[in-house]
Amino acid sequence: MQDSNIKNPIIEFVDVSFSYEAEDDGTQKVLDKINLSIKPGEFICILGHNGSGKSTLAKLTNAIYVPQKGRVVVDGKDTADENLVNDIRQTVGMVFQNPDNQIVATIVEDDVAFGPENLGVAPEEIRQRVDKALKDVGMYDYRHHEPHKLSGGQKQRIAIAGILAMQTKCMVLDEPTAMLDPVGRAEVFETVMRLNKDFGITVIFITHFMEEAVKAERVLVMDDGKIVQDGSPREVFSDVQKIKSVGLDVPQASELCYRLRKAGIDLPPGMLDEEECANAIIKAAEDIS
Amino acid sequence: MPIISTSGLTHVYGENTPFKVAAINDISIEIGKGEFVGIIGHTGSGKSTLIQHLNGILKPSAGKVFLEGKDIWENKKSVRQARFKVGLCFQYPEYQLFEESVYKDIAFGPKNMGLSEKEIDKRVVQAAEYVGLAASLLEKSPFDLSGGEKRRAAIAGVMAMQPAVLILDEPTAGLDPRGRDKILNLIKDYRESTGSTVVLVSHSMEDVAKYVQRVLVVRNSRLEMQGSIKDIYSKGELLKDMGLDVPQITKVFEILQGKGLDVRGDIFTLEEGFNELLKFFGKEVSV
Repeated sequence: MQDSNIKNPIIEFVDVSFSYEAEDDGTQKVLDKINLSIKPGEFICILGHNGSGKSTLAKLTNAIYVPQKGRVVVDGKDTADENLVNDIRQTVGMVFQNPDNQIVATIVEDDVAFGPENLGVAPEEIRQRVDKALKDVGMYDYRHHEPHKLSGGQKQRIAIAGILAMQTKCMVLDEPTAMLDPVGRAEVFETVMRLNKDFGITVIFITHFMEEAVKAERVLVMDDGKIVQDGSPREVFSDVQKIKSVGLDVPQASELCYRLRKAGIDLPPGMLDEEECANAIIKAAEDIS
Repeated sequence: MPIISTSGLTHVYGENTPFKVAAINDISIEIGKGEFVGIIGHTGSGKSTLIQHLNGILKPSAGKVFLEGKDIWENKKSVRQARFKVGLCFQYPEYQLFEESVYKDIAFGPKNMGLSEKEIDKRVVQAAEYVGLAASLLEKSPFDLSGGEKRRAAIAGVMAMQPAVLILDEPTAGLDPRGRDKILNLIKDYRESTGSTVVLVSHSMEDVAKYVQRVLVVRNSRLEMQGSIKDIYSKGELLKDMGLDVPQITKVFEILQGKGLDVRGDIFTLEEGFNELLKFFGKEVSV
């Protein structure tokens, strides 16, 4: 679907620094010379403790913020160019943490139509897009419902449908599952995974839940305004000490294998789930008997 | 005698309307003095409605709530007593901060109790210490704190009332792992140093396994089961059915046992699992 883009990143950060103005002592640096290249169709999870710069990075991807130093280029367009802001926002859509803060209409399908309406899409086409988007997130049966009566997971899927209806190539989700229960969390994460797989939508998914991160293609770990790890989940979760040193967790299976290995039991690094972990332990048990 | 108990507790929302629904139905529980109890259940199961009865915020449609053996709805005074003796910390409590300084916010509860200035001051300082808020933060506006600090300030406000029972509804929701561990550890330390009864409502089966002594499971507005971590967590299928799940470490040991490895199947925390395998491989177990 994105043949012409294969070689070009859809989002690129070049030496990006960003500071907020602090009340008392000048400025507070939040991002420090970030270089990052995201290919079309990637599924990336970003991890990092509160205040590590994740949300600021997210807001730089669709020109909510523009960098003070360096450049952010989205689908070939520099976000600092004010004339291109509309194009950029049609390329990158955002979903935020609190499901109650991003619903604008009183009926589900009106809410999903809000984005394309603002883009000036023709009414018949809006109708088609809204129906399709709601079907794609599994909320079509709720199209006439009142959003405030839905569960948190359902509200987030409505927000995602709103972005789908704008047909953006890229979706940035800033802790969309943080306020949800386990069922809602799985609903939202699986929906996003499917949209990435079926439609090739590029996804940047910020989360504190390691069980989500292990399913991404690529994991970025942020600390103190820098990207300190960038690799596959297996690579990133191999270095348990590093992850812990930046205030994060690893899946229990990864940590168990790591601690056993340190205790002198011969296990491979980077075990991600219960199957891998159990199989490695069984193999180690066979080796010693 | 349990510190709190309920018998046949039922709460109906929208009575006399077509939307009538029982949020909790015939719930009878007992919580012992000094116990650390966890309440789990999916969203909408009735957990929050249940705990809001324990300090008289909600009045039961049927059934009773007893605090130290006395019906809290006996008279006006007894309900007021319940509100002070049972401290309830809501989900996202930081949204309820409102005073101009952190100090005043923490002092709000004790002030309402009619305590002396001196006693209030003592309690505010102590509560701030329990939650690890530096004294220098007390004069700041609560809105200048970080998310995790705000959350801890809000919890301190409840602790400052020195309730006999502290109930926390999802105190770690939305926090990063460091903030989560910090809050759970401070609750644990608070309980150990004050001997208070603590009730923790949580979605995290890992956290519940690590901290509490006994679990109540609420499902479809009823008390589905209660028991030790071991009793409850060994019912993996039933939990899954309810949209809950056992910790990953438990699954690892289920697989190991299933494949014939001679290890325990009842492992619910990482620490237990690690020690069990050290033993299996004949290594020293650190205590």
